[in-house]
Amino acid sequence: MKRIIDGQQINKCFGDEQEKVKVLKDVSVTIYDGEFVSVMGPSGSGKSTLLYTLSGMDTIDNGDVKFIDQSLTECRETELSDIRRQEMGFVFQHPIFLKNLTILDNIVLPAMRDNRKKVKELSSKAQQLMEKTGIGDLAYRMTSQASGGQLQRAGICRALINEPKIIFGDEPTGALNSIAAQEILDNFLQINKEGTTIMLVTHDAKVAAQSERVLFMKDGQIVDELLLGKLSKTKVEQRVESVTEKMLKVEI
Amino acid sequence: MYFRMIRNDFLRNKLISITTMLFIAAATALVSLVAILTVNLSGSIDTLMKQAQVPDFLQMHAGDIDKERLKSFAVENENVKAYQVLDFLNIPGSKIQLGENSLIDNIQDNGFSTQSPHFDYLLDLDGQPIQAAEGELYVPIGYMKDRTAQIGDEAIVAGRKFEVAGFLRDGQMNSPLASSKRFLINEQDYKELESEGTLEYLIEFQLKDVSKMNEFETAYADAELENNGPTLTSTLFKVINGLSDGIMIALILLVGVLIVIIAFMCIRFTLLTKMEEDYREIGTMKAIGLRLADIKKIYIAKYGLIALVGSLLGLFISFTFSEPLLENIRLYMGESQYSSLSILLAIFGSIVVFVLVIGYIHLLLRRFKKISAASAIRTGSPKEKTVRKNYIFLSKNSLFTTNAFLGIKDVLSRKKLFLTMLIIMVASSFMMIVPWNTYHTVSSPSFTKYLGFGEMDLMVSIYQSLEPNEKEKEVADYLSKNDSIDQYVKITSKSFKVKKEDGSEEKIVIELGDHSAFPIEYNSGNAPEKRNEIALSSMNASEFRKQVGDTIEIITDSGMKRFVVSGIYSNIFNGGKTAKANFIDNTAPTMWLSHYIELKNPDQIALETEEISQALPFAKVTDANNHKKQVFGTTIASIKIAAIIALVVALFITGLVSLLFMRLLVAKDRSTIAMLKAIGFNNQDLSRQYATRGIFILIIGVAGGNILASTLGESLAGLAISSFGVEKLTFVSHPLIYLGCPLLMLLVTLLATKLGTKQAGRIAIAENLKE
Repeated sequence: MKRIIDGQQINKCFGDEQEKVKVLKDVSVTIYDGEFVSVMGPSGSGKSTLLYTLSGMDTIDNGDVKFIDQSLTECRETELSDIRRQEMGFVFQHPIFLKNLTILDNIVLPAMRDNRKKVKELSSKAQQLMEKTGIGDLAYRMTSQASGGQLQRAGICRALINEPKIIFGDEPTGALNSIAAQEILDNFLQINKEGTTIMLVTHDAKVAAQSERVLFMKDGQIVDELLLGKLSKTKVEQRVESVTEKMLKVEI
Repeated sequence: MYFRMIRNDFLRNKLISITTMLFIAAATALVSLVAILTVNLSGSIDTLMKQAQVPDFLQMHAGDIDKERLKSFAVENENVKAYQVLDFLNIPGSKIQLGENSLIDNIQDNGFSTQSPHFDYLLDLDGQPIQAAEGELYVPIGYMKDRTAQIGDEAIVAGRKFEVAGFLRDGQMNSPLASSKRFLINEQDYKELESEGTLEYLIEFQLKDVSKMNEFETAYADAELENNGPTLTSTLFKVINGLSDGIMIALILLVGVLIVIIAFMCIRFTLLTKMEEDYREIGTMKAIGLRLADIKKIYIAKYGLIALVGSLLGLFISFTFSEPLLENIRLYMGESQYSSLSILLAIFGSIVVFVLVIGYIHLLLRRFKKISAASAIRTGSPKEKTVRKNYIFLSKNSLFTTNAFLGIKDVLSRKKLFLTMLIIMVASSFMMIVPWNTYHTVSSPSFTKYLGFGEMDLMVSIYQSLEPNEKEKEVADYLSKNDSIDQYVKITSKSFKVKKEDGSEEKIVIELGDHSAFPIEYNSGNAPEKRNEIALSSMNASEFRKQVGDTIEIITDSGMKRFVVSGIYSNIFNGGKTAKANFIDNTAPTMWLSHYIELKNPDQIALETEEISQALPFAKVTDANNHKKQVFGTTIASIKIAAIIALVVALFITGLVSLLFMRLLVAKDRSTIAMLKAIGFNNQDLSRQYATRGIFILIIGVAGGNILASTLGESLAGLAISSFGVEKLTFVSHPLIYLGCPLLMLLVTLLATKLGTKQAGRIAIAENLKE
């Protein structure tokens, strides 16, 4: 299978010379095309940092991260920006938007930088994405006039506008109630079904249980892995149980 | 405890604290400088007036004189305290050689005098009346300033050798703006020189009660005493002495006021940003029961310290910088009698600035009341006003690049935040443009139009004492045959009497001729066109209490005639009392006769001046431009200095404030910047977005500044120049001023933005997204 992300022996420290904290210790991880991977672990285990290093947003001390065939550690800042904009999408726990733009404008923003002249096409494409995620009527609202769940879906639309190969999510359901969280997850599942690779960081077993593969982290290392396979609606509860079990084991 | 808090805070916000302090220092320095200069200028003028014992009333006179009649008038008039007639021996510049320099190009009426017997003394640089020994020559101070002469130089006057023994201050003719200069020599030398020049008399009076000047002038005119020449009063001497430095002070004051405004803006911006940062802490302090006054104290203490250090620094700077600026005043007019008062006033000015700053901070801190403890602790930062309406859509924009769009949109939606920077930009461009426009206006050839002169190239004048009729024909013949002259017009200055409303009569000098050929600027009304119209200089208009449209009665050869006042203009020369009309009169005494000349090729002015001087040796040929340069040179030079200082200061402010503002903005927008980077905007994109903000504000600011400069600035400059008697000034600008200044500001802003947003590149995405 084709590799989208290939991280080898990633090491990452925070802090200065006197007080160094090793956040990632020799982590190696590979994400394949079309996969839906989630990362679990207690807070401080390094799961978010892993996500940021794999997406080229954070530097690493040593090791290597490849996006398809290109080594991100050798890229210049502008090249990294280009990759992030054109090939990757990001969904954050707290969606950050430009407050002075409408929701639609926020969604087209990453695409407008390169394709200003195709503004009409982009707007209708954004509109379609919004319909698909169920916020079609919010296009001309300001971000302050939408709920957290609605904004998170807008965030997903923004991540999708440039048709990325992979979407990274840093606890995208972390700030939502369970109903809203499931709706977001359904959006992710749909996107994944249509061929986009997804990597989520989460501490919610119910979220992780719906992905194909779960990585468990502790103290800066991947300590375990659970292969769940494609989701079938009937076995959700079983999958949650096995994820919870593994998680408990990791935490002890 | 306060001290430790202040120190920590200061160290954390070094750049902002130092900038604020610098602005307060600059504001204080300028305000106190204005105080020092103004007090010393007026003090020095007073000292000079007192030491020289300047006459209250001076009548210059050429021609026959009846000293007995004058003496009996002086004795009989109750208001006369002292009276004297001085000789003023006018010698052409070509006959005066000082060291290596000849005064041939000099436009001043250079005259020789002996020391006055009773008052109007010529003083040495210590303020004592000079007694010249034989062979000694004392030279007007202006020639020391422009390095025409040095002590010890050998001087040759009309073939006679003198030694330059020193320099003199002259209470009435010191200023370059005064058209005559007096040299002092020994009585014996004077007698030998007497045959070489034309004699004029200075008929001088000191009055017991200066406030009754008008009555005295009328009495003098009624007595029909000698009056062939300008009449001057002590008020005019004061004005002329103070003018050059006065304009410089006015410009410094303008810059000072603007800097005070800018300092306030800086404080406003930094304090509000700081309050926003400390929002949660303030809420916590409130929650644990600290009183509002206690919290305020911490802020007041910090800014109080900054303001105090800034004010002291400013005061120190002003004391240092006042020395070189006072030098010119001291040189021309001597020590001020109020120098200790000036220090007190400077300190007072600094205290005023300090108190204003503290007051302003108090005002800003009133916002504390609005902070609710609960919401502060919960949300951590005040809710920015959310935008509800939106009119400009990114998704409908294809005109601007996305980066430019985001920059502009941000400025439009956070108007309050950017207002500070806007005001500073407006103030800076105003500060740049107004002094340069003033400089350009005053130095432009057309400025003489405001002073009662048309825009001419040359003026050829002859005086009445030189048998006018014969010479007049000679001049007319010569001029009509000269091919290089484009056009010329004859203006005859004649002396008439005005019948005042109370029945008394007063002298008026009227320039007769065609005044449309070399038009001047009128404060109100127009040039006289009909035979029964007359234009008055502003001093005459106020003396006779006339306005445009009023009638004035003048005694002419055909008896009493009524004239309609068609216009009022400014003129500080010839005592400022002139009039213009175009009727014909054959009997009134002609005082002098002038021809205003415009050449076909203005580059040949110097050449023509020499040619005409040689062809008409009895006439005085004045190169208008050179004349202006020598009269206004000092004034124009001080305006230029002020303009250069203003330019540098404004650019510095623009740069510093942009830098500061951008850094604060980047810090404030951290999480947005991190998000933009995460979704694929690179550092260059961010730089461009911030540069757009800067440029956008700059454009609005400069536009605003330009509009203000050409409206308010024009009136302000007009106010400063109104001491010339110019009441209404229109800027003569140069495209370079309106293009160059903004361009310089643009460069500085871009550079500052580049530096200021460097930080944006270093913002780590991960840290700032996690919150």
